[in-house]
Amino acid sequence: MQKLNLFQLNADRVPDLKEMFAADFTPASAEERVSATESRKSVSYWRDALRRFKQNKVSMGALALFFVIFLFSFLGPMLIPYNYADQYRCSMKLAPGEFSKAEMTAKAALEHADLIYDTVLSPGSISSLSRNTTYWFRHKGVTYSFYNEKTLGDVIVLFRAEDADPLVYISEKDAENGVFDNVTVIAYSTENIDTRAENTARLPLIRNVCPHVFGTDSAGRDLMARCMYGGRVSLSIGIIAALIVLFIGSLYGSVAGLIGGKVDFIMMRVVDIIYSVPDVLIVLLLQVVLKDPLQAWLDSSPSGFARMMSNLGVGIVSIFITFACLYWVGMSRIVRGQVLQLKSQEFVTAATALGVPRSRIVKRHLLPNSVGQLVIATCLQIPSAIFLESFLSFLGLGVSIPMTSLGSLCSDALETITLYPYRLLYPGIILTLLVLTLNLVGDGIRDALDPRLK
Amino acid sequence: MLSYVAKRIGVSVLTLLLIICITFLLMNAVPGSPFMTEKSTPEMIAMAEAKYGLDKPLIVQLWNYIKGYFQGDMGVSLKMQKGTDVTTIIFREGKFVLSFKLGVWAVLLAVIVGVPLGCIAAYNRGSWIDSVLRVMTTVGVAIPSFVLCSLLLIYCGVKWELLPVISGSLTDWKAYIAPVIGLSFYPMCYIAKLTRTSMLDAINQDYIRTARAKGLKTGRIIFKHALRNCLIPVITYLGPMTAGIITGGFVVEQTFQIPGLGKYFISSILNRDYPIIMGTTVVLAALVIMMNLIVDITYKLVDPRISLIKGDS
Repeated sequence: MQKLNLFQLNADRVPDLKEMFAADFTPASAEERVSATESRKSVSYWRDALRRFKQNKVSMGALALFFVIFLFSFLGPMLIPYNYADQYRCSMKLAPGEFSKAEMTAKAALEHADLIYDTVLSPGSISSLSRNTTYWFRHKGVTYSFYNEKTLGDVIVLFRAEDADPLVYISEKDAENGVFDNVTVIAYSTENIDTRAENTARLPLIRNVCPHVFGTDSAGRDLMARCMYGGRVSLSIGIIAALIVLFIGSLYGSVAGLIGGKVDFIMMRVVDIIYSVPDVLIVLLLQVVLKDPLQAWLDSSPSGFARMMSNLGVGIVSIFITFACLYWVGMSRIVRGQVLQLKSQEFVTAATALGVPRSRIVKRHLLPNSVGQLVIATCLQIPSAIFLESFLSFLGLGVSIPMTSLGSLCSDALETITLYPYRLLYPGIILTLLVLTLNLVGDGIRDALDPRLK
Repeated sequence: MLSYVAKRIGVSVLTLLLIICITFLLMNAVPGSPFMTEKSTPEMIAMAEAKYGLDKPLIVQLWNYIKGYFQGDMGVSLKMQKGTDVTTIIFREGKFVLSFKLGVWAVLLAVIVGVPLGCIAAYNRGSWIDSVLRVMTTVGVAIPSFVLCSLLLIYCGVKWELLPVISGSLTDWKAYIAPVIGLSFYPMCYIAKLTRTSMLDAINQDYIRTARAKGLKTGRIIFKHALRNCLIPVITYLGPMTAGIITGGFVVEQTFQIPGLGKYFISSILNRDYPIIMGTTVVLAALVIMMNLIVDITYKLVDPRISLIKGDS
């Protein structure tokens, strides 16, 4: 065996390389120095992926559209005066953009007045207030209070800014004719202007009449408000379900992949069997089976968690449970594959050889390297969860009234489809766009994170 | 090969048994009795339960079910059609046949239209035809089947009066059109997408270039040489597609008012008629599992590159 001259392991004195080769080295010239320094910042994996994603026009467009739907569902309800559950009895079965009689009166009155109360439009209106109490409101620095002694059918309280004592009731007929002279002041008090009277409530004012953009349903609920709320429910279910799948699937898959051997074999056979079970049949059964016991448990349990769940509704919670039971298998296969592939990589072998503990290998090497795959799989899981939820709701097994989702809106619309097809069109289009944009964004993320897969 | 087939059949039977057990346990997890109504007294419930063997221990009931299934006996209906054989309800009253016919037509349409569409898109890559097909397939896999079915119902049925609004028992060929399209659109688009991807892979291969150099016609190259190799992903998809078509059947039958198995299954769940739920689940699950089995065996036959020894990918 040849003896190594320079690098003797365990030698007392490590040879000084600089001293030994001093003659062979020359200082770098200024020119060389420039070329050796970093001319631009190195592009990290994520920055590179972001750049690729931005170049993908289809995905960027889909992302923009997705944000529009997202804002529609989450900010929209704040912008319109209608609620998903309130039933406006005078505004039943309106076509998109149509106004009910009471609303048309209010519109006509608004041309002459600044503000109105519509007595029939909303549940918090004058006709629903308790009598013999003073109510008040403030407008342009003046507080007006009034008694609600007598409630009439289709009457409107209106207010003219320039008049001195403007709080009046007018009848619908007057408003239609544009005549406001024969109005009767029912009750009006200028006392206690600055202090709020006892037992009074502050009333919301109507400055203009909001149209029912999507029309209303047979119970007089505003369809746009319901679509917004339904979109919110569908989106939340999709995201939460995908996170549940991510958590369970990646835990199960990484344990199987890391331990390997017999444990892995048995764990993966379990996955195989669950995978070949026709999922929808079991999902349908689970939905029905879970509903009653879950409701009973939620009602009896005093914990905050149960109360939160109970607010969500049993239908939604059982959807989460079905996802947790059945849909993690795909994710666990992906994660196991990733872990197995990474485990045999040289850098992991090197880390093991250096004596790095297993937990650190997982943290430093396995997790960061499989994040891309996890992100892709989770992104594509969201639309499929939305799909499943809408399918269940369509069959009448998902969320229950008055809570709504896009699927249950479509299902409700099916009964009257020949008369009111638009009731199905709006939620249907929103649902399709939601799934479409999420699919396209997911594809874009996949292409950006893993160009080899393209 | 033989051992592989035997192993796959074994796993399939095991899965089916597992499904029977899961279904049985799930149904029994629901509190209360299927005979519970406002009028019934505890004695009446006990009598009815004794009559149908529901008073026996769970494990005995389960064993009776499993034994029955392997003898072709699925028990009798408890509520919906009192006393009628479940086998009769499912198979002889035309429910299964109705759903099965719809499903077969949908599968055929999906494959017969989807594969050529994928080929055309791949061959005209980058042209407007490709773009149009791409938009269609992308939207097609995003549109929920109930939205599509309802659109067909509104436009073809109500507005233009081309097709009947209620398909009923599918006595007329016209009644088939809307349900079959509604059922097959998603798998068709999916198949077209799959075919396009694998076809693009295939036409860049050397043997296609050779065929082209030999002066073969384009159609012959695509359909004879390239297609054979890109059908494997499509065959693989046939298993999930069967499950998807059964699922879609629930929606389609609901929308078009077809008295098939899917519609019946949902109402049996809502009515808690145990033997019918069990029977339908087992029949549908067996169908899916069988399809998966056939697909697994076929595609290992079709593509010798897929190893038969290790059934794990």
